[in-house]
Amino acid sequence: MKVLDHFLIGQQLCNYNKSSIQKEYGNLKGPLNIMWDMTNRCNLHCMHCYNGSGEEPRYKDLSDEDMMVIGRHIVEAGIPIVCFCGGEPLLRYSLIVRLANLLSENGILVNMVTNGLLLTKERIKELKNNGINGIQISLDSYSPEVHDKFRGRTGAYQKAMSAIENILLSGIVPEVTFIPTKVNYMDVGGVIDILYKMGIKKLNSMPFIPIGRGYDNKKKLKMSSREQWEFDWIIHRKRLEYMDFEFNNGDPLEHIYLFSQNPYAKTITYEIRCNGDIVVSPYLPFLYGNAVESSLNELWDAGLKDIWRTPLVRNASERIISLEEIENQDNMPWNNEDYQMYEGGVYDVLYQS
Amino acid sequence: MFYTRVKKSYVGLLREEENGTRLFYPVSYSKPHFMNKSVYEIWNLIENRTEEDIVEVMKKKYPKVGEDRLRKDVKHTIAYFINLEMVKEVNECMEEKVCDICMFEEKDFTNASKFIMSTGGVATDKNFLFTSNHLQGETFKSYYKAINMRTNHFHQIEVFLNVVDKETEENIGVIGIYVCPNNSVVYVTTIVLSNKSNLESALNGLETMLRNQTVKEIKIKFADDSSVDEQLFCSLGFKKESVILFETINGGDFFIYGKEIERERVC
Repeated sequence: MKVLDHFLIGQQLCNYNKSSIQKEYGNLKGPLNIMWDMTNRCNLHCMHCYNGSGEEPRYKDLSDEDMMVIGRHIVEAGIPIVCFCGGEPLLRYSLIVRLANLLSENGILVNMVTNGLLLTKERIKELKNNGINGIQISLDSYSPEVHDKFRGRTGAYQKAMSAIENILLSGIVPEVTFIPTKVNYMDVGGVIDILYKMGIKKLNSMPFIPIGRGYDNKKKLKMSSREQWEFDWIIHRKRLEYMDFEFNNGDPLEHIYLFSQNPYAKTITYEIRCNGDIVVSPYLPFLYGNAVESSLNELWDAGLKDIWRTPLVRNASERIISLEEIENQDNMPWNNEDYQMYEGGVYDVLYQS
Repeated sequence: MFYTRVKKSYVGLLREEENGTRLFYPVSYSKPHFMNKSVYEIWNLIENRTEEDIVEVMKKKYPKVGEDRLRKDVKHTIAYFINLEMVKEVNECMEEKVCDICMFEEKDFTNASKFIMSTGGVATDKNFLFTSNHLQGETFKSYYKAINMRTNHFHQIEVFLNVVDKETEENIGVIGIYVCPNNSVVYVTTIVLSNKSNLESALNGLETMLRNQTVKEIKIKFADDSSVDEQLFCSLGFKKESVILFETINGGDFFIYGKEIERERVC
């Protein structure tokens, strides 16, 4: 990497240079990672779901063969990390085994997100043998009632807990995620206690984003500033109690800030929807082509790589200061209000003007 | 209507007995009194709070107890302490507190950034401005850019609080804090107030917020060339604790001032 060369050749090991690191993002040949929705169907009905997954999907699934075509495009594009998301990926179990095998055989790191309902010991073993590297699972409370209410199904908590145990037994440490909302924020301490006792020393979190079904439920879920304050203090206390426990609070806006702050950056990540549409950011209403109709490399060269530099996306990203602006966009993502920016879409019109 | 505890309203210590009850001698009626654990919890919550505020906290802590029962217990406990002259009622109109403090919400960063920028980083006769001493000129603007404030807040590098005028509900200031990893000390890292006369009220509000957590002391670190009037902080109960030599951006010294958060004298 050039940055490393610069450090070594210059013999100034600590010569941190913001500009040269920023420029490295301008030399990318493809994204660093992608999220790939296996389906928009789900066997749960979570109150906060950002893409409204459920029994009645908003987007049609591609056939297994079309998904395999996209898998080969991913291999061709050399994308280093792929995460199978959804909906619930395990509803297409045989497909994800085939895809995991294809991608991992070609050196790609494959992770998946699941609610754990359909995750048996045998399946974990088969997924692992076929190249699944990491499994992320959500735990919203230590109380089955709260978790089940949040997830819209009785028994979801027990299934999630037994999935976590089985993943651990298989030799993978699961990535456990907690989204604090008005309903469950007080329970985060209990969740940390449970994980720590199980030997899991990390909890991932990110703020609730009121889009998709979360938008419909925002009054029930969005925390007040006082609740957020209490939540932060529970975390402070737990950090002191378990000094080797990592509470990892991810900022969903970081990738947007990158592009509004870095004038060189190429597209570092995108999402492929279950119908093949390329989603520029899960939190913005922009699409760029379809991964079945064109290869990912074609889309990249045609403009996906610089999509954040186009006036439409740039203006949108520069307006995003906080989650408040995400919640109040004119066109909402995951609501069939997206702009298609590829070939004759709004991109050409605006870019030329 | 708020309730607040009367200072020095009991004699000596509030002693915890073996079963968790507290022994105390009210000044107004100096015979042994006892409060059980629940009453003691409510006692600790009576500090610039309404009856409703206290019931809300108790509801969250005891979700299985009926709301009517909690409300009744809170009402009776407050009445009990009022009779013992250990708690007084404070009408909003006669209340000294002029500010409310609350943590930033996502929507607050843009306006707060504009508010801070409007000072241009310069203290005047009217306003009150305390920021880290290395934040000058462009660095000041860059640090208090809305995105940067949000990122620092999100990652708890500096947590921002709104200071709101109780009457008009207008934002009249911003306070930034850093919570030390031991959870016992909080550094005040930013104070920007449109009117310096609100400093005491704003800091009292902060103290009240922190009192309910595990914080024992609020600290503030001044550079020796800071424009902040250290005497002003001394008059608000801060005491000089230590000097850090040669560490400011100009090679000068830092002074650390601290104020213990007033707590119950529990034996």
